[in-house]
Amino acid sequence: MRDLLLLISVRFRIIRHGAREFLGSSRLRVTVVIGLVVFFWLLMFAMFYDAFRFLHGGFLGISGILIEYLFAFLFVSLLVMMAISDAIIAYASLYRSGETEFLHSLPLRAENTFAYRGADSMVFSLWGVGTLVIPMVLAYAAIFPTTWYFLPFALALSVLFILFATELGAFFALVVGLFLPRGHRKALIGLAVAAVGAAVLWGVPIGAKLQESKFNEAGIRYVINQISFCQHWALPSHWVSRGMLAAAHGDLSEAAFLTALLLANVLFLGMVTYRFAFYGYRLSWCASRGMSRRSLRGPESVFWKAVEGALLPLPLRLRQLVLKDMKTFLRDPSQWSQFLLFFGLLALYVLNLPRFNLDQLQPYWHSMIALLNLGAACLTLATLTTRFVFPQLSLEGRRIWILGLLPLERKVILWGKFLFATAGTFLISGTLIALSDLFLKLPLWALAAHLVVTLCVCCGLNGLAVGLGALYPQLGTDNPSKIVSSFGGTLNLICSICFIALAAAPVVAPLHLKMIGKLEGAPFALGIGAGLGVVAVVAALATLIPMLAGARAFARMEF
Amino acid sequence: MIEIRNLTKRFGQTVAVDRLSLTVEPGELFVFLGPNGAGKTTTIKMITGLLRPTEGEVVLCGHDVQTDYMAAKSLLSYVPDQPFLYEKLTGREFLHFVGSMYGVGKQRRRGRIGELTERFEMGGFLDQPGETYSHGMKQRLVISAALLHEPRVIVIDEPMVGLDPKGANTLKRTLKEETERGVAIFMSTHTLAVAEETAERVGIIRKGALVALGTLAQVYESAQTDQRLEEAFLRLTEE
Repeated sequence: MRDLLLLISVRFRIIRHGAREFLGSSRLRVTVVIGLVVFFWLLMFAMFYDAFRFLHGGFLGISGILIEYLFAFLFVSLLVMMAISDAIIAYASLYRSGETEFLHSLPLRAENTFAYRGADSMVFSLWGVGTLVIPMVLAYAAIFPTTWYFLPFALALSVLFILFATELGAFFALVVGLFLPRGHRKALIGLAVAAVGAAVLWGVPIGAKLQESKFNEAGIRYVINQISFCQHWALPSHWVSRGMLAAAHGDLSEAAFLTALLLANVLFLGMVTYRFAFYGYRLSWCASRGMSRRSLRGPESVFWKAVEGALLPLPLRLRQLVLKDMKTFLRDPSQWSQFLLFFGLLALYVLNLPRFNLDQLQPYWHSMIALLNLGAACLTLATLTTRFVFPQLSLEGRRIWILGLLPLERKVILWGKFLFATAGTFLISGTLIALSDLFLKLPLWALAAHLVVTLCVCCGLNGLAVGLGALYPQLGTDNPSKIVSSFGGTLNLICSICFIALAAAPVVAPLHLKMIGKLEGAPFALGIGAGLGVVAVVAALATLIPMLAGARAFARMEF
Repeated sequence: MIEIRNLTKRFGQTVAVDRLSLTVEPGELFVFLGPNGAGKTTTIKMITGLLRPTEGEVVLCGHDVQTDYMAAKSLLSYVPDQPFLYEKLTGREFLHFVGSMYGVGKQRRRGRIGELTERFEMGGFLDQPGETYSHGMKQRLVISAALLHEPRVIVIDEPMVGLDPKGANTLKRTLKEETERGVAIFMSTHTLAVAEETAERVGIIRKGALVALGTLAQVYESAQTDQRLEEAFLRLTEE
């Protein structure tokens, strides 16, 4: 235990030095970061506030039931997402980090190293809960009458919930490390595919039933029944949601009981995981060291030859850079598995569209659904470019001098990354938008306009991500999550959201008015032409300004 | 004392280390040589307990590295070829942290840090964060961290990389002093001049198996050369 306390004190010291360094940096930088965090937090609060006010006013009779289901569904979703994400982060932290190897060489008990490194993901979970659950709880307290002890209970339950998810993630990582040391990639693929598959199996019957019921009372009751599993008594997420609502409604004994139940389970799972680590962590860590002999010849090399063939139109050096980035991305399961989850869920939704009785809907709703799909795809893209494209240059890390010494202009390297990211994201998001529009039976001109907007958004978002990635590189870390949560990453996310708002707005009105028959002929042509023109100009600016600034910074970069 | 008995490591079909047996006595500086990919780092990682052998065992001062690893590790210091530092900690904080991990008391730690700072001339940068250090500064710091708790066994991989001539000279003198104190040192290097200058015995490994073991004279003899170590090394490791 003394070892663990020592490690924790060192971690706090590192955090303190990092915080001092951050506060001592440019005042503008500090102001922008704090301002953006406050802005994002207030935005989340405003959204929850608005949603609760709608429920309170519009569904007065059943708002209590709906809120119970919403809370329960939110927490069960959070539990699944946090457990998967914590497992991925914990795996990287426990088996692939340089610090872990250093700690194993010290006279430290392996289970203490496990506890210390496994808790890494907790920091990221804390951030997620701080920006999602806390504003939600405060918005709830602002709209609905609650007791004085609602907020303390909500805070305690949230902290215990994070601990539980972290322990669960670390437990999964240990199971993968222990039982699948040579097949961890396959295990991670399996985990991601199983998650998406389970969501499909669960979502398809709900869609089908809604199609039959046409969203009437019976249909909504069916949906509530289908998601009633999230209120199962054995789910820790249910204890959290139920405990919070019990505290809000003044049922102190139930709130206290559920908090104590969650605490007992957190301690039990912690003890089980710690004991499991005592027996298995060192064994699995040693086994993971011997996995570097995997041959990449055979089917994989055939695949890469085919990809290289498809890239033949590109100049040789640019082609090789794009290939390098593709290989780096696809050979890192912690990167592509999260990408798969993001787009897997979006694809699940789009593929379910035909199951809704869309023929019965008014053109107004067709247009609204299509535009909302476009918005959802763009916002998902913004998250993805921030998560996967922004860290690309930083992930070159200490090897970046290799790129710096290449006999080609450094701006070519950046444009290569931009090209790879834009082609990849447009291929996926364009396909989803096209499928969505086809399922909604939208006319071809609308599909074409949506694809043009998607392409412009892809260019702008990737331009921002690659350019800002070069302007604010984080070469000292191999952890993409740390790169994303840096100043540059936060700035990139905010700029991306602002860009989407600016880029999408000019085409929304003419497209929607045309769909509902209020804008025809020349005025429509003029409106959509002007709208697409503005989108193209905004996208060009969002691409060129950061790319040129990033290229200049990269050209000046000293290694 | 390091006792390596019948040590074998297989990665699937590949045999990285093949039935390696040798002993490094207390007070001996043993230099381990071999071409790239011969199995040096795999051997080192098995000695330090970072890799589990497929067969065989490593015993440090009577403690099996696998079954009694806490006792074995507390007697051991390992300096890897690519040292790890907490970039946001100062060198002094890093030394205090490592010292605490090995259970060195505060007073003793301060004294040792003072001695090592003076010996490796780290006073100018010890209170700066690790992220500002050059490779040589990092190397001096991790070597100091390795010596801080006065280990009985030192395993050191490519120690001279990044050190300036003065730093390299200090390290050679320090290693000599450590052997005089009875420490068993297992050093891997590609710098044959350093091996010639410091080694009491040398082991040469090729494709996972020892091809020569003994004093420099014995190695020259087995390579049938009276030239320098470079000539012997090339002869013994040629395909």
